[in-house]
Amino acid sequence: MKYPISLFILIFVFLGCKKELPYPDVEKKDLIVVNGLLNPNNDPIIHLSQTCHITELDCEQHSLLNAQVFLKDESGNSLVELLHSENGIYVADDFQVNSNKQYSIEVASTGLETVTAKTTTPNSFNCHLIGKNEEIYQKYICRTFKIEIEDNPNEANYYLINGWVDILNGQHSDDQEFESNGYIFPHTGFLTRDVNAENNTMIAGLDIIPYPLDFIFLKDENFNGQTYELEFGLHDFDLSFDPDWELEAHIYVKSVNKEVYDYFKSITNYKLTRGNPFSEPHQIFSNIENGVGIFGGITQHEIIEPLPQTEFWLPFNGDFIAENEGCTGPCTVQFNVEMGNGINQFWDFGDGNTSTEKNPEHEYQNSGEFIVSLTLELGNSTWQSSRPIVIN
Amino acid sequence: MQLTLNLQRFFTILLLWIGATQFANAQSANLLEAPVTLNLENQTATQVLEEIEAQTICSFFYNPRDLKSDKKYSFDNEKLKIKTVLNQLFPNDEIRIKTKGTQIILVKNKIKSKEDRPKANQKYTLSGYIMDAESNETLIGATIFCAEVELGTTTNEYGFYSITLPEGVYEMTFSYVGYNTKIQKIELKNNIDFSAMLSIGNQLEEVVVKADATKYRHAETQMSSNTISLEKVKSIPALMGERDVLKIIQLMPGVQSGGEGTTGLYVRGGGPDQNLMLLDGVPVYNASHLFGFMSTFNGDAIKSVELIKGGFPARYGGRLSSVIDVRMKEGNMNKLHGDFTVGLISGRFNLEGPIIKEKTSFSFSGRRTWLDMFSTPIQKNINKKALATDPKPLTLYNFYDVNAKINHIFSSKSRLYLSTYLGNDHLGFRNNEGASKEKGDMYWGNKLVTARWNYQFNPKLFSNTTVYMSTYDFDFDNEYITELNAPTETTEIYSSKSKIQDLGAKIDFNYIPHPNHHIRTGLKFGQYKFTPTSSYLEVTEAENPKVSVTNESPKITSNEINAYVEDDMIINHRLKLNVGLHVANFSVEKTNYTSFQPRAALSFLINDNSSLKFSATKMTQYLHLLASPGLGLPTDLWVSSTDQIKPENAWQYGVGYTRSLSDGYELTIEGFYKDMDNLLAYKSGYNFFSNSKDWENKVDVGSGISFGGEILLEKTKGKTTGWIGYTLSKSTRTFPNINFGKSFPYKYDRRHDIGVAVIHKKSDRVDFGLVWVYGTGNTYTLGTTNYNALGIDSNNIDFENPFGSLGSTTQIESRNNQRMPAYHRLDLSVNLHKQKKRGSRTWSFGIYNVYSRQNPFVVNRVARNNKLVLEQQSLIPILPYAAYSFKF
Repeated sequence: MKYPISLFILIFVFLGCKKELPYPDVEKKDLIVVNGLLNPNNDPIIHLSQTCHITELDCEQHSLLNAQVFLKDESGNSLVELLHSENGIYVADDFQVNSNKQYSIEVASTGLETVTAKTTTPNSFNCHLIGKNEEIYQKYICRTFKIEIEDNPNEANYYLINGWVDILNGQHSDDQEFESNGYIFPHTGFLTRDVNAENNTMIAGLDIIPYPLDFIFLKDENFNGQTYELEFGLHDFDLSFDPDWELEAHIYVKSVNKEVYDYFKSITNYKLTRGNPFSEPHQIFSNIENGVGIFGGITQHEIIEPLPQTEFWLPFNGDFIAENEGCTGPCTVQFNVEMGNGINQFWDFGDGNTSTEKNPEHEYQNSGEFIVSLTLELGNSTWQSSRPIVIN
Repeated sequence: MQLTLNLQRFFTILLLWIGATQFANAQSANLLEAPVTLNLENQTATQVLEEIEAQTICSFFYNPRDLKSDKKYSFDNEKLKIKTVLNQLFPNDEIRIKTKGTQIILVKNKIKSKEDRPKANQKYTLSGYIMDAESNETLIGATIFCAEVELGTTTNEYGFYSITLPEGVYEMTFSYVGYNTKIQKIELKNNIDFSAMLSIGNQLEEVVVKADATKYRHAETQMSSNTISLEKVKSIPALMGERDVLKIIQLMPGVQSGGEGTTGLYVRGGGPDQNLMLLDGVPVYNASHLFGFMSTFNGDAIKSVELIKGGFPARYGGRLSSVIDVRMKEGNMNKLHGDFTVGLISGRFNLEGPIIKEKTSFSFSGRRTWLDMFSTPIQKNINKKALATDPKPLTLYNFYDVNAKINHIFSSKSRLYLSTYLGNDHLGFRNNEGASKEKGDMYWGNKLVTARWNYQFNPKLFSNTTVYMSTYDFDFDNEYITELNAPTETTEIYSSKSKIQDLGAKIDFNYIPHPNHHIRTGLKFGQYKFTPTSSYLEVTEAENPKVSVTNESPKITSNEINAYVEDDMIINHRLKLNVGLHVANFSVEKTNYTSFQPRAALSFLINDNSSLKFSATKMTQYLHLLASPGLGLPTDLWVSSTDQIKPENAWQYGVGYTRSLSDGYELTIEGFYKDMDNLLAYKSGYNFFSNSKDWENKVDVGSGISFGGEILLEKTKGKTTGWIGYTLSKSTRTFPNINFGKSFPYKYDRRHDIGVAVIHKKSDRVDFGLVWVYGTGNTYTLGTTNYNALGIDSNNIDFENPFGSLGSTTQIESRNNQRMPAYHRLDLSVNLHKQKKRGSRTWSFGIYNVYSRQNPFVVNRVARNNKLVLEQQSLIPILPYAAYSFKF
C-alpha cells in the first residue's frame, strides 16, 4: 500500500534533486550519561557513559571508567560512593537501597560537567495471578491473564507490565542473551482493553497488522489504594509454531516512580517511530541535570506460569470439521470448530438453513454440493470462512 | 513571556503608527480654524480663495462652474478663521465644504431648494440584480452608490442589492471592478425593481467616479479578506500551466503553502483542515488532486473567489481559520460560448450558454489529466528493457473532474440554481513478479449536488434556500496472487473504504430595511455520516476453502444545527459595525455540544481614504482531519467530534489599517492574535498509515497560539496590477504528550513570508505575469547528541544484568528545533492572445522556478562514510510550460 504512494513521491523526487546541507550548529560538548534504576533491598548499581557527537553513527563504546559517583540522601549528605566494576558499571556492594526514600546522585568526571539527578524509590506492593484464559483479541487468540495489584493508598503509583515466554523443551539457542532452560521469545507483546491502561493495541491501518506493545502502562489515578484487577493478553505470532512445545510465561509487574514510567513510555514511542519517515521522531525522557539518561526507582514481582497448549489462531484457514461429510442424503452432518470463549458462531449450511448453535448438526435432505459458511463474531468484527461439502 | 512581550511591542508600534495618522487627521480638521487676514476689495469668491491659499498651506479644489457668480466681496484687514470666510462666501447650503489633508474641497450641493427635497417620511426601495450585460451573469460584490445622499451598498453572493432611500430623483452609480461604470437617473416614487447591466470595460482607461467611496476596501467593515479576480488567475504563472485559485491564495499575506507545489493552505498559523472551502456554498472535504499538487477547483468554471482570514461574519461557521468561498459560473444567458485548453498534464474545456434565452442557462466544464497516457507507455518500455530478474511495477495515475450548473429565472423575484461537482482520482499499481501478480487500485474523490432557490419576498427581503449533499469517498482494492497457476495458488483480495457524507438544508435571509442596516439571518440543518474505515479481506488457497474477514469501524452519525444573525450597520459616516452571533449545536453519540460564537467587526473611517478596523470572532469546528503532514493524501480522514474528542475552538482578534492611495494603490496593514484549543495531532508512533478504528486513542489533544502582522500593498488599476504581501508571524502548539508538554513551533510556523505578484498588460495581445515568493524554512526535528539508553535493545530490564538493554539513541531537545533553508522562487509567464475568425486563441508560456532554486521539501539524515550528514530533498527545479487555449 505504501509502495504506490512512495513511488509517486519518488517521481517528483526524481524531478528534483538532492543536496547536502551543513549539519546545524549543535552542542559539540560531550555530556555524562547516567542509566540507573534503584531497586529497594538491593545494591545500588548504575551505568555511566558519555555522549558522542550527533554525526557519529556508532556510539556503543563510550563507557565512563574513571568517574566519581556519590549516592546522597534527601538532604544532600553523601551515603556511599559507587565504585567502578567493569564496562562503566558502578556499584556499592555493602549498601542497600531502601524503599520509599529519596536519593540523589552526583557524578563527576574530569573534562565533563558534573551531573546530578534525584529520584524516590517506590514502595513495595503485593501482586498475584488470579486467573487465566484464552480469548479472541482483535483477529488473534490471546492467552489472557488476570492479576490483582494491591495498590498502596495515598501515593501516586505507576505500573509497568511486561515479560517473555520461555520454551522449556525447545532447542537452546546460542545467540540468546538470556540464560534460560530453553528458547525464549523476547518479543512477546501485551494487549489490554483495560480502561486505565494508557495504551491499547494498534492496527496499522491499511496494513491491518496488530502491533502488540512491549509494555502495559498503568496509572493508579482511578483506583488509588484499592485492590485492582487487571486483565491482559499475551501475544506472540511465533508461539503457534510447534504444538509440542512446553511454554512458560514470565510476567513482570513493576512498580516504578513517575520518571521511570515517563521514560519507558518515551522509549516505547521512540521505538515505534524509529526509522519511520512519516512520523515525527520521538524524544526520550531524561531527568539528569546537565546530562542525559534516567535515574529512577523500580521494584517488581515476577509471575511464572505455564501456558496451556491450544490454538493461538482463529480457525482462519477455514478448517471446520464436517463429520460424516460425503454421506448419502438425507443424512446428518456434525460440524465442529475448536475455539475459545466469547465467540458467536453463525452457520449457513448452504441449503437455505442457518444456525447460531455452537458446533451444530444439520440434516441434509438432498444430494449435491453445498457451500457451508461459518461466520465468527466478536464485537464489531466478524470472520468468515466457507467451503463446499458434498452430499451424495 | 517572550511571546507576550513581542505581542505588546507589536501592538504598541502599530498603535503609535495609527496614532500618527490620527494626528495628521486632527490637523486637517483644524485647517478650517486657521486664521487668515484678508484685505480685499470687490473680489470674486475665486479670488478670495486664491488669497487664502497664498496665506496658508491649504489648497482649494472646486469646479469653477460651481462658483460662477458675479458677487463681489470686500474685507477690511479682517482677521478671520477660514471657516468664517467660507461661510460668508457661501452662506446657503449650496456649497458643501470638505477637508482632506491640507486640501479644502468645495462641492456644489445638488439638492437645490427645500421644495425639491424629498419628504423625509416617504421612503422607497430600489432593488434588483447587477449583471454582466453580455452574459447576464450576476456580479458578486458590485457597488451601487448614490452620490446625493452619500449612501451605497454592494450586491450579495447572488448579485442582489437593495437600497432604501427617501422619495426623490437620484443619480445611481453602478460599478464593478473591470466593468464600465453605469450612471442611471432613477426617479424613486415607488419601490423599483431595477437590474443594472454592466459591460466589460477597458480597464486601461477606467472611468473613475470619485464619489464612489464604497468601492474601496477601506470603506468596508469586513477586514482580513481578499477577493481573487479570475482575470488575475489567468495571467499569473502556474506550475505546469495548471491555473489554480488556491495557489493564488497562497500568495496573499497570512496564507502559506505547506510544501513545494502543493495546494495546502495554512492560514494565520492554522492547520490545513481549518479552512472552510465552499463551492457554491457547499463544503468540499478534499480540495486536491494529484496528492495535493492541484486543487479540485477548475479555474475555468469559477466566477469568483473570496478568502476571509479573520473578522468572520456570523453567516460562516464550522472551521477555525479561514473561509474560501468559491462561486461557480452560472452560464451565459444570451449566447453560446466555450473555450478549451490543452496543457502539459491536462486538458480542460468549458461550455456555457442559454437553454432558453434570458431564462435558463447552463455552464459545463470538464478536466482530465493525461499523465497516464504518457507515463504508461514509458513505464512499459522501461519494463521491457528491465531484466527479467528485476521486473518493475507499473503505476497508473489519472484524475478528472466535472462541474455543471443550470440556472433558471422564474421571474425577477425567483431564481433556481442546480449545480454539481464530480471529481475522481485514480492511482493504480500493477506488479507481475515471477509467479506472483499484484493489482491495486485506489479511487478517491468528492461529489457535490446542490439545489438553490433565490426568492425575493419584497424589495427589502431576499431569501435563499439550499439543499445539498457533499461526499468524499476513498476506496482501495488490492488483489494479490502468489504461486500463480501452481496447485498452491493463493489469492488475497483486500479492499478498504472510508467515507464522509454531509447532507444539509439551509435557509438564509438578507433583510435590508434601511441603507444603514443589512441584516442577515439563517438556519441550517446538517447530518454527517462518517465511515472511518471498513475493510474486507478474502483469501483463497487452491486446496483450502475461501475465507474472508470483514472489519468495520463503527459508523458515526452526527447532526448539526446552525443559526446565525448579523447586522452590518452604519452608525454614522465614520463608524460601521458588523455584529452577529453564530450558534451551533452538534450532537454525536451521547454528547451534545452547543457553542455560541459571537462575531464583531468595527470599521472607523479616519478620513476619506483611510480607515481603522477591529474585529473579534470565535469559531468552532466539529470535524477534525487526521492528515498526513504536507501532502494531500487520499488517506487523510475526516472524523467527527465524539464523546471523547471535543470540538476545536478559536478566538481571533484583529486590528487593521486600510488606506486607499492614489493611482489605484491600496495599502492594508493588519495584526492578529489567534488562540486555538482542542487541536488534534497524532500521538507519537502513529501516523497517517495507521488511520483506522480506535483513532480516538491515537490522537493527542492540545492547543495552539499564533499571532502576527501582515502588510499588503495592492494595485488594482492601470496597465500594471498586482500586489506585494508581507507577513511576520509566529505559531506554536502545546500538547500534553508531545515535547514533554512544553510548547513548540508549529511545523508550518513561518517567521517571514513574502508574496509578490505582478501582471503587466502590454496590450490586448500580450500580457506578462511574475510571481516571487519567499518564506522562512519549515521547521523539523533534529537530534542534538547520541548516547546509550536503557531499554533500547530489549525491554526486559533484568536486574542481574540491567544494562544488557543499553542501546544507542539520539537525544532530541525539543520538537521542531531546526529550520530548513528558506524557500524562494521566481515564476514568469507570458500570454499571447490573438483574435481569430471564430474566436480568440491564447498561447501561454511560462517558467516555474526561473533561477532553479533548490528549495527543500524534506531534510533527511543520511549515513555517509560512517558519519551522519543532512541531505535536503528538493522537488521541482526549473520547469517550463506551454498551453494553448481557444475561446469562442
